[in-house]
Amino acid sequence: MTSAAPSAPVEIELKLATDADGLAALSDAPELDGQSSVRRLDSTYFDTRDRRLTARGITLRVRKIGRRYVQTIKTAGKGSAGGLSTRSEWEWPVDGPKPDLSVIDDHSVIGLIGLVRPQELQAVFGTRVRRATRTLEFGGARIEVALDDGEVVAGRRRQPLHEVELELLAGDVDPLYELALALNRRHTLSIDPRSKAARGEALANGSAPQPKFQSSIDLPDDVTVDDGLALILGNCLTHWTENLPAVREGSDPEGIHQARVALRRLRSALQLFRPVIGAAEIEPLKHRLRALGNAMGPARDADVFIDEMLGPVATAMPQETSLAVLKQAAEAWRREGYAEARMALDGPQATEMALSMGHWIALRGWRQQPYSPTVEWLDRPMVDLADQLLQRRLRAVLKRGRGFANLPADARHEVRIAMKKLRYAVDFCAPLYPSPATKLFFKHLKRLQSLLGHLQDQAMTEAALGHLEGGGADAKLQRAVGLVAGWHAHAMVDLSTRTNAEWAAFKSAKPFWHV
Amino acid sequence: MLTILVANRKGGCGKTTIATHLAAAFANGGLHTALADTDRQRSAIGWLKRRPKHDAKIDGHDWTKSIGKPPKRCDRLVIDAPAAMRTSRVEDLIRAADIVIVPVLPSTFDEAATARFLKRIDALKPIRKEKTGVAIVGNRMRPRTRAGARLESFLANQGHFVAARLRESAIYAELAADGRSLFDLTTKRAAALAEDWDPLIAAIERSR
Ligand SMILES: Nc1ncnc2c1ncn2[C@@H]1O[C@H](COP(=O)(O)OP(=O)(O)O)[C@@H](O)[C@H]1O
Ligand SMILES: [Mg+2]
Repeated sequence: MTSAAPSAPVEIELKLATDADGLAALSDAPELDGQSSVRRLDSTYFDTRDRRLTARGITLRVRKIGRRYVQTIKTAGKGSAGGLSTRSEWEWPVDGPKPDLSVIDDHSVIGLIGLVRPQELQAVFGTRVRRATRTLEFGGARIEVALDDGEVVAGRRRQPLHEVELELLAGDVDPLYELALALNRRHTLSIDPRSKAARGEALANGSAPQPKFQSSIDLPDDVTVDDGLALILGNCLTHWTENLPAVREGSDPEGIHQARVALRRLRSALQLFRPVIGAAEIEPLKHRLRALGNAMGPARDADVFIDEMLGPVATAMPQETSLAVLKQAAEAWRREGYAEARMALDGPQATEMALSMGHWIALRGWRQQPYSPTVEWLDRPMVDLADQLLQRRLRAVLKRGRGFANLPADARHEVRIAMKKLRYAVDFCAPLYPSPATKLFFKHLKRLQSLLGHLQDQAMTEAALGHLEGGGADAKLQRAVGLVAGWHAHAMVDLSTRTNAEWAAFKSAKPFWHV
Repeated sequence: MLTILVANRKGGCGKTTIATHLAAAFANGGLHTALADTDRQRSAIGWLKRRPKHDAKIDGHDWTKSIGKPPKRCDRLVIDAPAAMRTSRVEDLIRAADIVIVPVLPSTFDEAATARFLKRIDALKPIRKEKTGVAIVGNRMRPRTRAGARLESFLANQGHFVAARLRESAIYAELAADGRSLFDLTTKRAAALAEDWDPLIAAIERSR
């Protein structure tokens, strides 16, 4: 059981990562003109041995500032969409370098922490930072800019830390994003959703950044279209930014996959809600998303090919040496793909996309369109809009799937694409319809979609094999390509009957938005 | 709110001592704490009546006639269960709890009865489904005694482990008489004994 969320001072800041050179360039940046003051900040982060504070999303730190010690408690942020984090933060002066929970006078914080006996607290990691801060007036807001240069230290492990923090002291978030976007045009910046505490915790555990799956969208059932859009798009953007560390440093291919899924979700959400958002708002955003998605395509294709296409054939025929040759070629292809994806994600476009998207969501860009009858939708209940969107997408699937059992492959592709669109609509809107009917419909949808998905894998395999075969000079490679192609062509025959049965089951599932 | 039930079929194994101590530990940590007594002997309520005014505040609830509603605005609710209780009532209490604390005395403990009790609790749905945890406390332990070692191996065979070991000390009887706990004292001796409780408190807090 958890206590109610406390009402606490909230910190709104945009955090961007850079490197030593980037930081040096930033300290001379004309945008950041102004008196800066430099301080050394040495912080130690504490937790119980069983990491109860981390488990509750609480960080506890004691920071030495000059001769003073300040104890700070922060709660987990509400997402990191577009680099923006909003967290509750409390501070108390303490007598020494050790934390002292008895000074906490705010009962909501005590309830959050629960009972922690003083001797349970131990230092887990620390940060040593040289922080140069200045306060700017920018676009009507007061913003504190902090350039952090230092390291995270956990036992014998250390990791450099170079960050820019833009904290909103007064005014709107709008100028906060404007400033970040302006800086990103001239400097090497990237989005790192992890707090210093999260990085320290990972360093202390020696764990690489993990891929993150999408979190469920908390849509209250009476949410308006306006608020619903902000929640849905924010959820997709967070899904994207949270996977960036895993793509950059992690070794799990799931990281790239999730980042790509997140991009696709973003694009699909824009597409689904296009009638209310307005085409003019959508096009520039979609363009950016597509460019990034394309850069990640080969990495993902190579992963699927090696794990799902080549894998089963190689396992079934361990003696077949030609498959090893093909595997080698595919691995080289995968390495290239990963290099391309990482480059795109480290480049300025990726940061620009996240910041512009975050900015647009924070501003509620869909509210900026000229008046039209559709704009009135924004203040109506999301569920009314969802009813219509879901119905429209279901109709498209049923229309394309007419006479399903006898449809040729290319017509089934059309069905697959319509299904995918329906799937996204259901993904985004299902939280509005919490009922067993929703779950049941979703189950049938997913089953059918996964079977139809093999169609796509098949097409991709053909393309991948063509690519890997090259000029067809290598006889071994050619043999391997033939084996893999044959294997999966045969599997498709088998799948066809199952797909027909799933189609029938899906058609008879009751649409959950019909009450 | 986190609900902690202290239960065992045997009398005198330390249920009231543990329930009152836990309540005092939470209250001293600044948490809004309630102590509910379900035992007709009302020893937890008596302890609360004797409790000095200046000690950390604990809300008392008399649940001896019937199980009351969970108090409002409460962070921790500790329930002191009686020795003999109808199965259905124990089950109701366990359903309401996040964690069940079972004190066991190594010196006098009856293997067959404890095994029966643990088996019965383990079979209850919330515990089977791991919604409710079980923490066994070895009470009145004398370090490095054969009885202690026997208790541990016996519990391991039942698929349980000892979450905490509380030493035997005459101070517990004195504290009971004063309506106080180790957590209300600032002496070195009290602090040393209070350390026995840390693993139990951590186990409870983890169950949140
Ligand atoms: N660790 C301990 N060391 C010494 N005496 C203890 C200890 N725990 C409990 N006692 C004493 O044992 C007696 C029974 O304890 P009590 O908590 O009333 O048991 P229950 O509620 O299970 O009947 C009390 O006199 C209590 O002071
Ligand atoms: Mg008792």
